[in-house]
Amino acid sequence: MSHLNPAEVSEILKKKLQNYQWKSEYEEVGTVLQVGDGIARIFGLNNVRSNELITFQDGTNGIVLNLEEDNIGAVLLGSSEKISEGDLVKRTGRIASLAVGEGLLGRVVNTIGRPVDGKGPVTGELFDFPFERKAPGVIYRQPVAEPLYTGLKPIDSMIPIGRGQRELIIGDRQTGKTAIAIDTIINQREFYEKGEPVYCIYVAIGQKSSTVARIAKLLEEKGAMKYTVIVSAPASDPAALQFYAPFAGTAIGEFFRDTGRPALIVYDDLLKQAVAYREVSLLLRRPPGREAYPGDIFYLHSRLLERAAKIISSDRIAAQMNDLPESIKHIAKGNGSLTALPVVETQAGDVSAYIPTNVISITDGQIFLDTDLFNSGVRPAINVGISVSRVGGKAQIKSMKKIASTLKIDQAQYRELEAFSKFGAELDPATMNVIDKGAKNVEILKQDQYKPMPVEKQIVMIFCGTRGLLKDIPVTGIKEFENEFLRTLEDKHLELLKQIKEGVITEEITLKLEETAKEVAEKFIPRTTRQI
Amino acid sequence: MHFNKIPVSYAKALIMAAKETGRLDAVYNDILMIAELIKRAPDLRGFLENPVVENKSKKKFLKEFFASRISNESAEFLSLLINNKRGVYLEEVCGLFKFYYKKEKGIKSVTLKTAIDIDEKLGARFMEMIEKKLNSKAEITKEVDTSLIGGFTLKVDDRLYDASARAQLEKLRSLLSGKT
Repeated sequence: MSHLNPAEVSEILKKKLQNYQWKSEYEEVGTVLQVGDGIARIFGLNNVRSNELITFQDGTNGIVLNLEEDNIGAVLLGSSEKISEGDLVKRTGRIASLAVGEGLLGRVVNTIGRPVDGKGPVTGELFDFPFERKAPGVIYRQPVAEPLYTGLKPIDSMIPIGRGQRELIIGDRQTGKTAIAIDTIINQREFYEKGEPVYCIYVAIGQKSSTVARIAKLLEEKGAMKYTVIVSAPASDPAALQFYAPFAGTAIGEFFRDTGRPALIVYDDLLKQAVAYREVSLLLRRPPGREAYPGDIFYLHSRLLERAAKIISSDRIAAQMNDLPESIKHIAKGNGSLTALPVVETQAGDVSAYIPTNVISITDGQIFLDTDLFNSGVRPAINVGISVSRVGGKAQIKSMKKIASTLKIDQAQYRELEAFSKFGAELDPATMNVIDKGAKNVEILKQDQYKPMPVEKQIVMIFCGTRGLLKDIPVTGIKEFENEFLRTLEDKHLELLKQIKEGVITEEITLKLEETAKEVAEKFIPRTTRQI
Repeated sequence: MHFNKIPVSYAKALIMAAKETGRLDAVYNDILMIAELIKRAPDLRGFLENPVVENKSKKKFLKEFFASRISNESAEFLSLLINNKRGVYLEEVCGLFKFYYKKEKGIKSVTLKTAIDIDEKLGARFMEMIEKKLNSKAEITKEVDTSLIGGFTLKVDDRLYDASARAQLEKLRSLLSGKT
């Protein structure tokens, strides 16, 4: 039995064959001198350019990285099994790139843009985007001004992230780094449903394939896959594919950025990418530096993260952007953005290691996750003291800025005084107040995984904390209060929440909030306290 | 060919020295002979590579063996190679020397692969055509490669003219499957 594939209709086949020309051309070729460990040394190809794609006899592709006096070094984008010494290598004349388009949304692809989720080929119009591309120049950018909501209370209030920003998520293993990134992606659903999607790209570098599958399934369940692309370079992929994966992800992000739309990219994680790059560099015999990383490891990360940007709103200027791929010049638009959330894993909390310090200095701030906090039940385990956002403050909406302005200082004071309370020493009422408020705030800032919260709800909860409205409620009752309070507001004061979301905060609104909070709090105050 | 830097330096040094004394062609002929010899007699290579054999006896052997057959420059070069304990690289140095010599003289190395064996007459016509087209001398190697199915491939230094049936079929396949 033979089934006719739609692509096998005679008419279509004929059209395809019409493009075929019996023509031979001079091609530049070289010969393989040595192959192995995912790299090849090639003799010949005298005119090949750095970063050019080359093809081996068996169809495997490679990227030229080293140009030396009498040989070239290239990384293989596949297995070296069928390549042997003396094989011919051809130039393609193309710079390494991948095909990007709307069709990638909802898909899991590998570094070279081939789908790996078994859902068939990528559909729709595709554009060629190079892996390596210069970051937009100064005149094509504008300052970060719009918020990118993570849906997490501690981040959106104290370490706000703006569209076009690069915020590092750093911490030991098992502290919830990926969870923050995933929550942020899930939180963008609100905007997708509103018709103003923030396209998300999750780049998994050197992770287990099972982890990638789990994340894909989770995003699917949460309805987040519709606006998300996963670029997967699992640990089983060659090192070259692993270190190019973030560049592939960024190319996808740039497609959305340069067509005037906001995008978010998560690199999980850059330490593994650095390790893959180190492997390739050492095999190519580039001189090792600190911790055996090559000298250009900083440049590797800086040129990658520099491509996150907020593009100028003028379409005319944006269309003249440097290095804009020819193929999308006709649809280039301004006002797009690419926000980057790189993840870096530290060893035993050591942020002064080589790669962490590098990436900290490149990014516009970092979210530091702490093992001790995580284990004591504070989740997300963000250490507010050493987490910063250098540019995100400008992107915060007015209402949030006003309400949360004192939160960071309050928490810093609380952390300082907390130690005293542990000795059981007699403390003056003012100190007791600070400690009590701090403990309640910590409770407010806790949040369950996969449950991002819209910004207006975050604001009203933080309002209760900073105004000390929870003074009489025991710490254990805060969670219940939160549920009850938010439900009450949704039932009775929906208009109020809408206003807050738009950034409006007036005397009238605060009074109403205070009133409602007191009403709800009444139910949670233990009887003994009430009698006093 | 090797990507090691050592044979490269030796080959280049030999070229320069031979050019200075104006006996480049003589040295080239010597090298051709030595390369052929190594290829035919694997024992010779083993002997030169063997670290147990003393340099003195290696030199003595080479002197007696080549005696008057090679020029002074080549003999000098061989003893230098042995003195520096780089006898291992002799074969590679020969290969590189040939490469640099051809580059120096503007001789192209041409490899003609055909699906079936071609007769002398056709081969001669090919050669004539190639030399005329390239406008320079060419050294032609002929090979038969049945995997080409039909037609021929012509490799001139690092450029390949692929007029084989295999390449055309490959092109057709990639066109139909949509893969590039």
